[in-house]
Amino acid sequence: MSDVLRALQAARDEDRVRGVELEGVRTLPGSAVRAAAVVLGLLVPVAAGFATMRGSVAALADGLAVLLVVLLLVRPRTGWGAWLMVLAAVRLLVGGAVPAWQLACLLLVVHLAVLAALLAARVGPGTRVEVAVPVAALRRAWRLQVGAQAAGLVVWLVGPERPLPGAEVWRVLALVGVVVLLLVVLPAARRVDRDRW
Amino acid sequence: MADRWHVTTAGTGTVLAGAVVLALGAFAGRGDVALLGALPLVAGAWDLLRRPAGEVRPAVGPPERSDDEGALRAELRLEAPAGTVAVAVGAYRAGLPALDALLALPDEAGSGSVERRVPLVVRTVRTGPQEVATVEAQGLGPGLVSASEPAGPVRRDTLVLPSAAPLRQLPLPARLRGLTGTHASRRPGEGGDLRDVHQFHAGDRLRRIDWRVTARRSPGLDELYVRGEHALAEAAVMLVVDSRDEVGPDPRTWAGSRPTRADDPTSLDVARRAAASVARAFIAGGDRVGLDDLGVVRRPLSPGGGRGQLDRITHALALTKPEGWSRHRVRSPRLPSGALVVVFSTFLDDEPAEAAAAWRRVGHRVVAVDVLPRLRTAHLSGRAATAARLVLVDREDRLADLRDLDVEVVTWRDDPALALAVLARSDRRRPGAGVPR
Repeated sequence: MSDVLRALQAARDEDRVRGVELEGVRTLPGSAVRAAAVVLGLLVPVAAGFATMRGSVAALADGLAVLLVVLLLVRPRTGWGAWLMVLAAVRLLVGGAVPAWQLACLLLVVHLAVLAALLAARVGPGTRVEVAVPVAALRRAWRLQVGAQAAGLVVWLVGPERPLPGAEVWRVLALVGVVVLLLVVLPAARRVDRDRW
Repeated sequence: MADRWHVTTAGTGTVLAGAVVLALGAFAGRGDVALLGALPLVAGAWDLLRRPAGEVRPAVGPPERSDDEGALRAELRLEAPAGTVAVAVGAYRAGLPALDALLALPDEAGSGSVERRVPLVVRTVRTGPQEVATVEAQGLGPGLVSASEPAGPVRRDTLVLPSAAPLRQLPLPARLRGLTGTHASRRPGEGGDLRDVHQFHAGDRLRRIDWRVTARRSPGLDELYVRGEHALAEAAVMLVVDSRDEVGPDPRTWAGSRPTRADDPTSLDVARRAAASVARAFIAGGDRVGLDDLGVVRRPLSPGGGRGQLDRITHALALTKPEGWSRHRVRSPRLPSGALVVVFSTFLDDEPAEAAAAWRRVGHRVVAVDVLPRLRTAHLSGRAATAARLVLVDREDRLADLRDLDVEVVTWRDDPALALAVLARSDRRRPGAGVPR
C-alpha cells in the first residue's frame, strides 16, 4: 500500500472520531441553512421578474444576481446577499410596476431572503443550528410582513408609479431618515466582525 | 454600564442595502420600490435599537459518568443578557472535532438575563485526569444583526475513574493468610471443609462433637469423637502498575513526536482498567489487595480489604501517570510475604520483567499482565514497520524468558477473564489452593 493510501486511511479513521455532542436538541445542519439562503436568494430575481427583461441590461442583471448568490453561498458573512434587493429594485425602476400579486410575492421573498441571509451569516457548513432559532426568527417576522403586505396593497391601490402629493417633501424626509439611520448603524458596526473564536 | 453589542457585517449590509433601495424609491417617486427597501430597513433599525448590552457567560457543569461505554454527561449553562435570541457555541476537546452550534435562548423581555441549559455528551476511552470540554460562546441579538464579544474559553476538567470488567475465577497466591476469608486453607480451624474425625482432647469445642460417629465407634460413650475442619483464609494480592510508559496502538506515536489519537486507549488506560478489574474481583472475594507503582518511588498502598480499599485503589489508579524520567530501581519493591503479585506492564523494556523475575525468585506467585493495546501496523511505512517489528520481537523474547522463570503471562487484549480462569483452574489440579509448587 502506498503512503498516500495509508494517509487517506488514517484520515478516514480520524473522521469517525466524535467529539463533544449535544443531547436532546433538534438541529439542522448549517449547510441546509446556507442552501435555503441560496434558494431564497435565487427566488428574489425570479419574483422581481428578471425573466421578462431583455437585452444587455438583462444579461448584466442576471450576471450580478448570480455573483451575489455565489457570494451568499461562499461568503455569507459579508452581507452581500442583501444587495439582491437592490437588483430587484432596479428591475422595478427599469421595467415598470408589477402586478399586485407579484409585488406581494416580492415583499415576502425579499423578507425571507434577508432573514435567511442573516442566519446563514452566523453559521458554517458544519454548524448545528437548533430548529428553534429559525422558527423564532419567523415568529418575530410575521407581524412586520403583514404590515408590509398591507402597505403594498395601499401602494398598489394608489398606483405604484403615480407621484404622491407633496413628493418633494417625501423625498427630503426619506433622505433625512436614511442618513439618520446610517448614522445610527455605521458607528455600531465593526470593520472586523469578530467571529466566535 | 456595559457597551451595547456591535452590529454584524451582514446586518450592516442589509441596512445599507435597504437604505439605498428606499432612497432610490423616494427619488424616483416609486412607492413600491421604497416599500421594498423600507421593509429590511425598518426591521434592521428596530432590531438595532433593541440590541442587548452585557456579556455572555458560558459554563460547563461537573460531568457524570453514565455508563461503561465511557460517556460523560455534563450540563452546558449559557447566561446572556435579556434580548439575546441565540448563542453561537463552540465546544471542543483536545484532539477531537469541535462542536459548532447555534442555540436558541428563551424569548424574555426585560433588563435581567436569560439562561439556557443544554446537556453535553462526551465519549472517552481514556481514564485519569482529562478535559471534559472547553467552551466559547457569542451572543446574537434580535434579528441576528448584532453580536456580543466572544466569551470564554471556559474549560472543565474531571478525573475519570477506571471501570472494572467482570472477571470469573482468579488465581490465588502461593500461601494464604489468616483464619478468616473465603478460601479453604490447609490449616486446621473452622469454617472450611471436613478435615478429619478424631478423638476429643483438650482444646476441642464441645459443639464439635460428632454424636453419630461417637455412637457408632464408642457405644458406651467411653470416648468422644469430634469433627475437625480446615480453616478459611484470605489471599494477599499486590497489584504493581508500570506507569513509566504510556503508548497507544499506533507505533508512530511511541517516540512522542506526534500525539496519540484521542479515541485510542493507551497502555496506561488498559493497565488502569485491568488493575481495577482484578482489584474489584479480589476484594469482592474477601481478599486483601494493595497497589504499588513501578514508575515512582513512594510508599505503596498496603493490602487491605473492603469497599474503602477498592475506592482508594481505583482513585490511585486514576491518578497514575508517567512522571518525568523514571529512576532505575536498584532493588525491586518489597512486597508482603506470600502475596500474589500481578504486574501490569507493556514489557517494552527490561525493568518490569526483571522485577517480576526477582519476585518470582523469592517465592511469590507472579502473574504478568501484558497491557499493550492491539497495535495498528497496517498503515506503517517500511522503516517504521521494521522498527516496530524489532521492538515487538524483543518484547516477545522478554515475555518468553518470564514464562521460563515460571511467571504466568496473561494478555489483557484477548480474553483476560478466560486466561485468569485458566490460571485459577490450574491451582485446583494441585492438592488444594494455595499450596506452593
